[in-house]
Formats: sequence, structure tokens, C-alpha cells
Amino acid sequence: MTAWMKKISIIAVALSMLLFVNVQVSADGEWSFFGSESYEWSLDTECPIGIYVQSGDAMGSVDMRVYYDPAVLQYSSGGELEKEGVVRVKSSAGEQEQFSIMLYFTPLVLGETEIEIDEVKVTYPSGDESTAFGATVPITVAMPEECMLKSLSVNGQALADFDPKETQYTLDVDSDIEKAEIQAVANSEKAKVQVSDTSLKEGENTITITSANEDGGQIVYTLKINKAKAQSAVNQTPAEKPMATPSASSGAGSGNSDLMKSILICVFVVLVVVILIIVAALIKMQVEKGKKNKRIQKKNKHDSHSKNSHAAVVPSKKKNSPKPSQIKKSPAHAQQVSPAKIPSSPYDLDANEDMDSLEQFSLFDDRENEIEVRNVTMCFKHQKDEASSIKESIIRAFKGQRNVVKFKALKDVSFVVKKGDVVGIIGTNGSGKSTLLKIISGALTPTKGFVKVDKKKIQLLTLGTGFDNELTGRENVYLNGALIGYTKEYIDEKYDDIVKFAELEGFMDEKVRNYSSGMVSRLGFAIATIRDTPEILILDEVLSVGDMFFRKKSTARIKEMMKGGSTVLIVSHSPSVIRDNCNKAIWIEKGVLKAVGDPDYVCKAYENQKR
Amino acid sequence: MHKETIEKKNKNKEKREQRKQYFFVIRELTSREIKRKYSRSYLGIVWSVLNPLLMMTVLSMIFMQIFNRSIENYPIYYLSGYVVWHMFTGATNSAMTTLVDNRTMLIKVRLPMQVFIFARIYTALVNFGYSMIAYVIMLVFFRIVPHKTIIYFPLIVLFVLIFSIGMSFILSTAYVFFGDVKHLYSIITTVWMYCSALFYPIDRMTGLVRTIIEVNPLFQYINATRNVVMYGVWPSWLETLVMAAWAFVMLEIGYLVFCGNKNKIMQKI
Repeated sequence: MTAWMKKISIIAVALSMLLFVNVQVSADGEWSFFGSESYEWSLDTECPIGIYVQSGDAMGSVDMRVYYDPAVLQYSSGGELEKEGVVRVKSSAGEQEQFSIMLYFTPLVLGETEIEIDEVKVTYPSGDESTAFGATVPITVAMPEECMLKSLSVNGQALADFDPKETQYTLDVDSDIEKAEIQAVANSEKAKVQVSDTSLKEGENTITITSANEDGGQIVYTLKINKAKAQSAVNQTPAEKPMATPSASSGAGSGNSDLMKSILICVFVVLVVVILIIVAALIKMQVEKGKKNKRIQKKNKHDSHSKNSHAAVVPSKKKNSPKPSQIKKSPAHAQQVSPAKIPSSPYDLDANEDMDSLEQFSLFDDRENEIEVRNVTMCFKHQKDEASSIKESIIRAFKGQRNVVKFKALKDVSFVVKKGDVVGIIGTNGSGKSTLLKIISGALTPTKGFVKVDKKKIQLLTLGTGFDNELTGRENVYLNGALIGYTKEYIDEKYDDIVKFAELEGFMDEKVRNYSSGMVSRLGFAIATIRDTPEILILDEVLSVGDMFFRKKSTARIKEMMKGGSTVLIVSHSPSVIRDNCNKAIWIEKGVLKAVGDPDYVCKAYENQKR
Repeated sequence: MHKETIEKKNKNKEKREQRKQYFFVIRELTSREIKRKYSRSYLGIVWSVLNPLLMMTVLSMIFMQIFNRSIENYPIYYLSGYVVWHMFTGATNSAMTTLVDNRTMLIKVRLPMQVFIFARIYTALVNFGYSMIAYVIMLVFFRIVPHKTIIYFPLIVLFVLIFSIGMSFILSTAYVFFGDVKHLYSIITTVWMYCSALFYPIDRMTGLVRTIIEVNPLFQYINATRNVVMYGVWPSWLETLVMAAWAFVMLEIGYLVFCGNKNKIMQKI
């Protein structure tokens, strides 16, 4: 984090704190309240309520809204009715510190309700406007004694916790009860009791019991009966369990929420089923792949057996590159095979002759084998127009249709690299050079055959691995170095050398995005070659970097590394690079080892073929 | 005998050095991820702090109305869940694509593939650290006095990390073979988020949904975080055991899947 970022964050925190404090200060200025902490009103009589606004200063005018429940209360007078349930009070405050007004309401039904003051805007004579805190007050509408029910029973059973003052009950019943029989007795004989429709449907039923006296006072009792569904009625006892207050979940629109629930469940089930199908299909595919692999392996074993036996009798073109190891073991055998070779083209002949001599040479070479590549075959299995999406692969899995195309990137390649050799690997694009390198460096495991090499000694030199355009040169040196395997201390120590070699002094704190491509590759080369000479060095298209002058420098560096006694593998498709640097060359074409031997010969063969 | 012990010691030393090297690589990769993430923005890393705060503000404004009574300190309630949840999704989402994103490096560099996954997880952890700044600011702001139980919090974070690593192994393997795992997973995380009681109280839920939520490991972690930070309640032994079991079982499965397919991944890439 740079310094200005820190500053900004500090400012942001401070600002938010300030805002918070500010809100509190302004809110302390004025507030609204009611004349009393609670009200008890009786039915059908006009009742007053006092509303006050208090402020520290003299107020010019006050504007507020008073909310009430129009189902319980009816607004009579005092302010102006904005709409049902909202009264607006807008008045001058007469430059007093306290403003008061009376509103009148008439209760319609029994029960408890609330009146709320909100959106209180105070305007001061100075023109300043401010918002005051709102307030709420509870209001109880008392019940006329006469109308209260003495008892309430459903289907002959009295409600367990019936209380005359409580007007709402919930009840669960069995699915086989068609009709609720309700007996309600009022306190006074004067009161008339009316009961709404009592037939029960599945789910929630609302029954209202209205008890009214002659004076017009009335109490409405609400009874919610939940009738159980036919299937799930097993565990429900007929015992009534009235709840004192209706629960939040059994609000209005229960039918609606049932629908929603079932839709949700449907969607969920569908999703789960889809996911299960996908998983099943994938597993099926995996299992079948495994089976196939086994089959292929068996086949391969079979193939290789027959091939080997075949090769012994009639030397095939592949024998152009006799396995040095075999020769080494039994020179007599090698001599027998070599003359029997059938030259397939003129230059092959040259190469062969030369190679024989080379093999002879390597026969008496007592240097250690640094890299041994034996019968390496690399098979890539591609599905024809490969399924890159699950959908496709599922369809394929079900159709049982799999067009697996086997692509052999390397076919039975064998060679040996001696300690201190500088070997060039040449071949056209896509001939399998990179695959070979990956196998040698251990990134890939060959399908068949094996590579014998001490993987710890290998250093793969590639340019700009993990270079990131958004980072500065300096950061990239560390990232790249880490990826190649340098420790932090090592990079710290060699940093200056790297910069110097790459000739990038003064550019290191700039983003690599702004570098030229030559600069990037120079930096990459410098990082990759700064380390002490490794025992095995693999150079993947490294030697054609930068301008002429840098190329000279880099070639010198590589030469120096080679002189250090390390074994070097150079991959290139430029014959001149290989001629200049190598003492042995390997030509691979379409996965087949075409020639091994003296760089001049191999390169000539390669060039001829190209034409 | 003596020689053997020396050899062993050397081997151990080598291993330790290698591990150190891997950690260095992970750190470098992580710093790259972070620098890159914010390389074109002016506020940069401050976004990591601002993001949870903004999310919290918006959601609080909406849901405070609804859950006012059942949740006190809704912003903190939400933020506690959000930081944990965000670390998990951040880690798994970025780790899922890491093998494909870094294919060139994977081929050319001799590093175990896990390193790239760990780097993304570590990135998520660092981001989590930044969002902790926001969290602490909010705790101070709402005057929540930290309880003793807060020392349990790092353990929860560790469990979530281990769980994420396990998930990441599976996801990154799957993503190499099927690109649409990414899209599928984005849907799954959405469903998962709703099943984690991130912004509503668990008491509201009943029946099947509630069972799903309670089984959900992420809910366990989020719930434990809230208990530990807001309410000062120690998680029970059973809860700890369940959380640890989820984490390590997931890691084990993920690792098995990953190792089983290592070679195939290399070929495919």
C-alpha cells in the first residue's frame, strides 16, 4: 500500500466517524411525544389525544404525519386527513419552544392499537429545517362488560385458555371434522351473539364471533381453525390447543405461501435431480474411461510384444536410430543389425553411416549416462471434437458414443545423453520436441517406456515463465525467480547482477506492460541464467533473444555454462543454432526419432527434408 | 548407523528447504494476485476494506426493516457471516480456475500443482485479513466489547480454510475437464448462500429448510463466528468436532480426487 492510499483510508474512516457524530447532534435538537404514556379508550366514543413537539429553540412551524390503524380507529378531527390511516398536521408553532395539538379519534372495535408520529419536520424562523424523532403510543380500547363472552366452546369442548378479554384464538382440528359447532354465551342476556360461517375447509379457516349489545357496543372474537390435511392427520390429537396470540407465520395469504412452498420444493427437487444426474453421468464416464484405459494398456502390451519380435527379424525404418543402450550391451548384435538396414532415402543413408560411427564412438565412451530415454511413447487421447461441456459429455455418455482419437506425440523414442554432452533437439513445429522435454523434466509421465535422469539436477530454462504485465520489472524478477526455484535470499543477492546483465537499469520500477518484447526476453534470460551452472540445463528456444549484441552476450553466457561441464539440451528449430553449439543432434519428426548423431549431418538431413 | 542419521538429517533439511521454497513461491504468487487484482484501480487494496462495508450498509438498510425485532445489531450479524462466507467463496472461486489460468507455468516449471491452489487460498486469506479491518472498525463503531471467546475465532478461520482447500482441489480438478463447472458452481454458491442464514435469523426457518441449513457446514462456521464474536458463547465440543470433521473430511476427499487425476490433468492441460 502506498502512502497516499493510507491517507485516503484514514480520511475515509474519519469522515464516516464525523457523519455518525453529526447525525446524533442534529437528532438531539427536537423531539415529539404524546400527552400520556398510554391511552385507554372505550368503544364508539370520541377520544382526544395530545401531540407535542418540543425543541430547544422557538419553532416557526411544524409539519408531521400521524399514523393510526383505520381498522380499529376512526379519525374525527384535529388535523387534516391525508388518506385512511394517515393524518397530516401542519401548523404554525407561534414561535414557542413547545407545540401542541389535539386530535380526536373514535374507536371502532376492541383491542389494542398504536398511534405513531413520524416525519416530523420543524422549521425555525431563521429558515432552518430539521427533523425530529417520531414517537408511538399504545392505545387500548376497553370492552363493554355486557358483550364479553362468558364461555366459548367448539364442538362441545370449551377452549382451554379462554379469556373474555382476549379476542383472538387459534385451534387445530382433525381432518374429518366438517363443521365447527360453536357455543358462545355472553355475560349479559342483552348482548346478541352472531357467528359467521362455521363449515371447515382444509387449511386455515377464520370464524368471527360478534357479540353486540343494544347500545351499539360490540366485541369481535376471531377464531382461527387449522384443519389438518387428510394425510398428515396421523399425529394430531383432537385436543384443542388454542394459542394466545396468532403466530407470525399464520398471517394473511396462507394459501399463497402454500403455493410458494410447493413451487420452491419443486424447484429444489428438480435441481437436486439434475445435479444427481450430472454426478452419476460423470462417475459413469470415469468408470468407463478407466475400463478403456485398461483395455488400451493391454492392447499396448500386446502390440509392443509383437513389434519387438517383428523388429528382430526385419529391421524397420525405426531402426534408423538403433538404441545405444542395446548396442552397448551387445556390440556383436549391433553390428549384425546395422548392415541390414534398408535406407529409405539418400540422406538417411548418410545419417545412418555416421550414426553407426557415432554409436561406435559412444560405445567406448566411458562417461556416465546423464539422461537415458528408453522406448518412450507418449499417447494423448483426444475425444474427437472433444466435449468441453458437461452437457455434451452427458449426452455422449448416454449415447455411448465416444470418438476417442489416440494421438501419439512420441513413438518409441530412445536415446542416451552422456555427461557433458551438448545435445540439440531439432524438428518442425508440432513434432514432439516440447513433449519430449516435458517428459524429461518430469512434468509428464510417458505412456510407455521410461526416462532415467536425476530430476533434481535439471534446470529447465524457459523465458518469461509467469511474467506478469501488470507487475513491475522488479516484482517480476522475484516472482519469476521463485518459480524457477531461487530462494528469496539468493534473488536479493543477485538482483543487481540480473538487472545489469539485462541492461535494464532504470526500468525496473516500471510495469512490464510498458517494456518492449526485447526487454522482456532479456530480463527473462538474465533471471534464468544468473544461477550457478546446473548439472543439466534444458534450453527451450532460448538462444534467439534480443538484438544482435545481446544475442552475442547470451550465446557467450550459454557457452560459459556449457564449459562448466554441464549437460545441455537445446531445443530449436533453427539448424544454425544447433550447428554452432552442439556436439550431438537429435532430429524428431512427427513423434518419430529420425536421426541421432553429428550435428552437421542431422541438420543437413533436416534441411533436405524440409525442402 | 551414524551415517544413516546424518543422511536422514540431510534429507530432512532438504525437505525443509524445499518447503520454504514452496512457501516463498506461494507468497510471490499471492502478492502477484493481489497487485494484479487492484492494478488498475486508484483505491487499490482499500476496496478490500470498503467492499464488505458497502455490502453491509446496503443489506442492513433493506433487512433491518424486516428483521428489526429478531436480530439486534443486524449489521454486525450480517458482517460476521459475510467475512467468513466471502473468504470461502473467494478462495474456492479463484482456486477453481487456477490450474487453467496458470497452464503455461504448470508445464514449464517443476513445481507441484498444489502450490498454485495454495497460492489462491492464501490470497483469499490475505483478503480476509483486509476485510477484518472493516470488521474491527464496525465492532468498535457499534461498541461491541470483545468477549473472551474471541480467541476461538482463528480456529474457525482455520477450519474454513481447510474446508476451502478441500473444495478447491475438487473444483480445480473438475474445471480442467469441464469449463461449465464454473457456471454451475456460481449457481450452487448462490443457493448455498441462501442456505447459510447469512442475512436472516435461523429461527424463522422451519421444517426441511431448517434441517438443510443446520447440516450445512458453512452455516456451522458462520454460526460459531457469531456466537464467539457477538454473544460470547463457547462452541460446544460437539460443534467443534462437527466443524473439524467437515473440514478434514473435505480435505481428504479433495486430496484423493486431486491426486487420482494428477496425470490426467497434466495431459489435458
